[in-house]
Amino acid sequence: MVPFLLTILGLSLFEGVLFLVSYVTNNVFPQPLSADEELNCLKQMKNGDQEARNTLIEHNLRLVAHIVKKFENTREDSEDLISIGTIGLIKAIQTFDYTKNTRLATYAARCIENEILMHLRSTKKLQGEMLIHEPIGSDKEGNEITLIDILGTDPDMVMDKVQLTLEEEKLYELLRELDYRERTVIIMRYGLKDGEQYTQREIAKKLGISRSYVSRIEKKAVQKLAKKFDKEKH
Amino acid sequence: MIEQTHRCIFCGNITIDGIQLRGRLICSECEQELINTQVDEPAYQSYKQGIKAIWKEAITLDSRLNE
Repeated sequence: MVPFLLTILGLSLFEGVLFLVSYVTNNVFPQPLSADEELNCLKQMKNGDQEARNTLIEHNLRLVAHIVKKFENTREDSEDLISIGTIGLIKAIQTFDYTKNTRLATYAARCIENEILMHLRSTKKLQGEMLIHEPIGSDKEGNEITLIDILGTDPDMVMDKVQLTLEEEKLYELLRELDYRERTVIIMRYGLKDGEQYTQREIAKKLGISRSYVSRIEKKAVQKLAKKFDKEKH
Repeated sequence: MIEQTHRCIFCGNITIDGIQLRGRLICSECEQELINTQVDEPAYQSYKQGIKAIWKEAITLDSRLNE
């Protein structure tokens, strides 16, 4: 580990680190390989060709930067994410099986993303922890808004809930005005009895009629209910 | 330059087996260790820092070349 530390120290002396993601996307990295080139490299890699593996890694570094961009808002150091993504890419190239009809980029993207997600989970950054008094922005007049300012129940939500309950009661009342078959179809189709919704085919079987007939009954019953609802309102 | 591309950035061993990442070598043994290290293991941090250093070096060199 000593040589490693020395290398790190040595490399850390380089100043002026640019933003990694823009570095990668500014065409410094090779373009992705074509499907044929990729397959060739994969086959060569399987036969032990290390150069082919290096090519695969090099040509997919762009993918790492692309995926890291998705995690911009995690407040994680982008350099760390690029490094973790690169580890994900190395793991992907090592474990990829080209006989499974998947493009390497698809598989590698998943591996890179997983690696980053695992890291974020381990640092508990994804748990959405935030202070209730943490500023989250400002209003039109420039006053700071904290999370607690925007928490609470929207008064409309309560009204909507009451309205829905009343309409539900009304629906059950109006159902009694339908004939037996219509009522049965509506209750079964929309799971009004036990929450279980049946298909038209299942209802047809139960009632001993055709599916298209069930469909017609359902349509007619819904129209009847809508009309009755409308009448009640006016 | 020859030494740099043949000396593993992690263990310092001189070899030709391994991955070349932006002109730096990760030897096969370290690569295996890296692949089998989980994100919550202390060693992972070292690998992460190592790869970060490779990136930083590559960026610095490339930006100097473009000057």
